[in-house]
Parts: sequence; C-alpha cells; structure tokens
Amino acid sequence: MSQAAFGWVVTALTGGVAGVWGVVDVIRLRRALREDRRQPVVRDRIFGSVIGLAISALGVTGAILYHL
Amino acid sequence: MPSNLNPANAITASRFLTLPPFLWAVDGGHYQIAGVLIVLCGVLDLFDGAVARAFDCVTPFGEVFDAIADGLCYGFFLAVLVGYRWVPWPPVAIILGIGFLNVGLRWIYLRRARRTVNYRSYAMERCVAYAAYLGAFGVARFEVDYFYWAFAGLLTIVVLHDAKRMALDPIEGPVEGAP
Repeated sequence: MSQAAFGWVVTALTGGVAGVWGVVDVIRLRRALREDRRQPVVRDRIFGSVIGLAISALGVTGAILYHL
Repeated sequence: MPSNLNPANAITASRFLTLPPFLWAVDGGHYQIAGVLIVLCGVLDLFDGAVARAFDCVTPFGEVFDAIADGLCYGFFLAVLVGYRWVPWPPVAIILGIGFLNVGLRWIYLRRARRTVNYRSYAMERCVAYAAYLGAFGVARFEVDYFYWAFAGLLTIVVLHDAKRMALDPIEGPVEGAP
C-alpha cells in the first residue's frame, strides 16, 4: 500500500471512529444528565462523556488537519 | 468464582505476542506491519471483555490484568517509537509519567479496598482507546505532534480527576475486613 493510501486508511479510521464516538457520547451524556448527579458514579459517567466528546473533536480536527 | 485460567485471560495474555514483531517491524522500517500489529493488539483488547461475558468467566483479576496489559502494550509501543525517533519524546515522557502515577493511584485504591478490584474510570476508558490510536498515529506519521500533545493534556486532566476518587473518596462496594 502506498504512503498516501495508508494515510487515507488512517484518516478513515480516525475521522470515522471519532465521528461515531461523538454521537455515542452525546447520547450517553444526555442519558447521564437525566440521572441523579449527586451519585459519584453518575458524575463519573458525565465526566467520561465530556472527555469522550473532547477526544471525538480532536480526532475529527486532526484528520482534517492532516489533509490541509 | 470462575478460575483465572480462562479464555478471556488467555486472549489478554496473547496481546503480549504482538510486542516482539512490533519491535522487529519498527526496526526494519515496516511501518504498515507495525500499524497492523497495533490494530491487532487493540482488537484483542475488544475481544477479551466480550469473551469473558460470553463464557461467563468475568473475574476481578481479569479486569486488573486487562488494565495492566493495556499499560504494558501501549507503553511499549510508545517507548519503541520514541527509541527510533518516530515520535517526539517530551509528550511521551509526560504520558508515561502520568501512566505510572495512575498505576500508583490504582495500587493505593487496591490497598484501601483490601481486595482485587479494578477502579472503573469512564474517562480513562476513553483515554485507553485514544492510546491505542497513538501508536498508529506514530507509525503513520499522522499529525503526530498535535495528537501526542493533546493526549498528554487530556490524560493529565483525567488522572487528576480520578486521583481524588482513588486516594480519598469512600470505596464503592465491600471493603474486605471492614466492620
């Protein structure tokens, strides 16, 4: 596989997974926000989803930056 | 309690088999093979949990072993990539340093719980998935500086957040020997 093709494979794996990941974490975050936030586990799930959304945004941005 | 000698732990242990060929691939400049080995290690990580549930052999040791395997495998990939100068060392030094701090905090959590238990961090689970990608970004020369420095920052935030829960907050579930 050429370097360019390999770059596109990594782009697809990064941007694609990051996009899906973002959608999943939005759903999880909405679900967690409806629960009792005084519970430490619920607060952990909310924090986890926020970090997940940040990673998703980083993945999509990085994939775009690579091709600019 | 299921035995610790079970199919899920065998799959977890098999992840270590990707490490020697990874070193060989990087040494020979076979970056695509190195990338495939990282993906294989990540896929095996996905499968061990599924196999544990399918064969009903989920054990506390298995959860801890899985976390140890994550740290060793992804730490090894990063160390090799730094050794061959495929990725910059400063963010990797931060990542490995924070990783060791996290291991120390988990050990404190184990001591406080007085039983084999894995501290579940939802944010760290996301970071582990990101860590699997870091190796692939390194071998593909894919926005390496951007992804490595961003990960170092995120990991620092997550470990600082988890530190309080592991070292100070009350333990979830029973504490062995407690009244």
